[in-house]
Amino acid sequence: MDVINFIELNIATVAILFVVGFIGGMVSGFIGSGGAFVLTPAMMSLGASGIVAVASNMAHKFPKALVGSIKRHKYGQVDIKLGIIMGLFAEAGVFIGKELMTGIRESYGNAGTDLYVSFVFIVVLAIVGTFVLRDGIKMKREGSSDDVHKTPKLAKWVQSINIPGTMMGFKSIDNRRVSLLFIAPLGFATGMLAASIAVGGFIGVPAMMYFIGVPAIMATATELVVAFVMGMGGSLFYAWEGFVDIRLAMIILAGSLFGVQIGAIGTTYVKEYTVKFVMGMIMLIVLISRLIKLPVYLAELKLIAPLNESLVPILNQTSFAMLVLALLSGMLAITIALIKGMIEHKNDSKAEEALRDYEKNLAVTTAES
Amino acid sequence: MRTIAKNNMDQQNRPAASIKKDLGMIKSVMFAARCVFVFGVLSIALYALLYMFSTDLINISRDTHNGHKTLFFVPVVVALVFSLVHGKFTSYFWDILNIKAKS
Repeated sequence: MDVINFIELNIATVAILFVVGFIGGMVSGFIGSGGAFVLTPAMMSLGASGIVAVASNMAHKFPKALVGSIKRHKYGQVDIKLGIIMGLFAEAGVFIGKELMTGIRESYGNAGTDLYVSFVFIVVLAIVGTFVLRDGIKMKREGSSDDVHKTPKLAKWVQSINIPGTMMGFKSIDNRRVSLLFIAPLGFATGMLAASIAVGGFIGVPAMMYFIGVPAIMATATELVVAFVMGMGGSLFYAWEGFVDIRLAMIILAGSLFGVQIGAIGTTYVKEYTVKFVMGMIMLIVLISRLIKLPVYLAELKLIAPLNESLVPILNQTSFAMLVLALLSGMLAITIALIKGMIEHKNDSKAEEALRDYEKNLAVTTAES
Repeated sequence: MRTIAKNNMDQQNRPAASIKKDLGMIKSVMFAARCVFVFGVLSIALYALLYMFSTDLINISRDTHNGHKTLFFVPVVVALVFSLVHGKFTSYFWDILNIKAKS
């Protein structure tokens, strides 16, 4: 009989999971994904086995994505059709990704999968993260606002290709039509990435923005639908295998649902470039974390000379600290954007009210004179 | 003359409109407070149940892993129920603290 070890919970463990869940939820509510890259290693460091940590993380992720997408749907930011379609293709990506991971583990052991995951992280984050951050900075410099969403050149080309029998219109791009043959690989890649690094949104959101032409705020909201569809399927799969520790998942969910609401509210106060800026920043900090850890895996696989024994724990801890920093800086950026946005909105409302009163008084005075 | 009359009427109606607006706000805060209370209690009850039945839930996962698949869906159903109840609670919680979306 195969026995899985589920960890003992105490107050400290519960508090850590709650807080990390809250911060992860806040980032997810704002950029559509995130948090998983810290939660899985955090659960593992608390004693959960890798597979239980991944399964429990997924079991908290899909209900969080459900709540986040309902919230953002109320703000008119979600393209449900695009989310479901991408989610279904992503589901296929998750299963192929899992098979690939299993194959690598069988051939090269855990160090092999770790190296694969780090490699994927580094390549994706370096390319996509830099691009998203650069784009965000460029938009801010140009003073772009949400009112004038510019469709990227690549998306314009994708929208111009007509492949009969595969075309579908989407609300997020003003009902312009895109071929399913373009959406399928994007969804599939999102799922593959989710199966490898647990953050499919790092591909899904930029893919929607730059390939399909979805505005950043709608892309991050739609990604929550993708995460729900993908996470629900993944959770059923892991539950079938009996790997889900529902206690862990629900404790994280307790914190993350507080966070996801704040993240979602935050999106209504910011401009597109803020979302891109926060996403790019988080991606690049996570990239640094993976770069720090890379020599450890390379040494384990004997691809480089063995590392000094005292150096390994330092690299491990620094790498984990960078992941925590990525989440914390995301939380800080969202909090600042939210507070700033709320103050500006309050001032604008007051100014509008004062202007209305002034105009009314002026009309009375003019009429009297 | 018409404008002056209209503005005079506006001035006379203003306190009433303002009271109506304040009453509306009070009503909405009261509603949110009631919802926070109801969903808060339900949420706490769910977490209390989770604590009480944690061993059983873990045993369901263990049994599923060892081939008894009858109750494999329980964790997913639990997650959905928690998300609906706790999700409502957290939404009203921020509402009552006046942290709301831009209107």
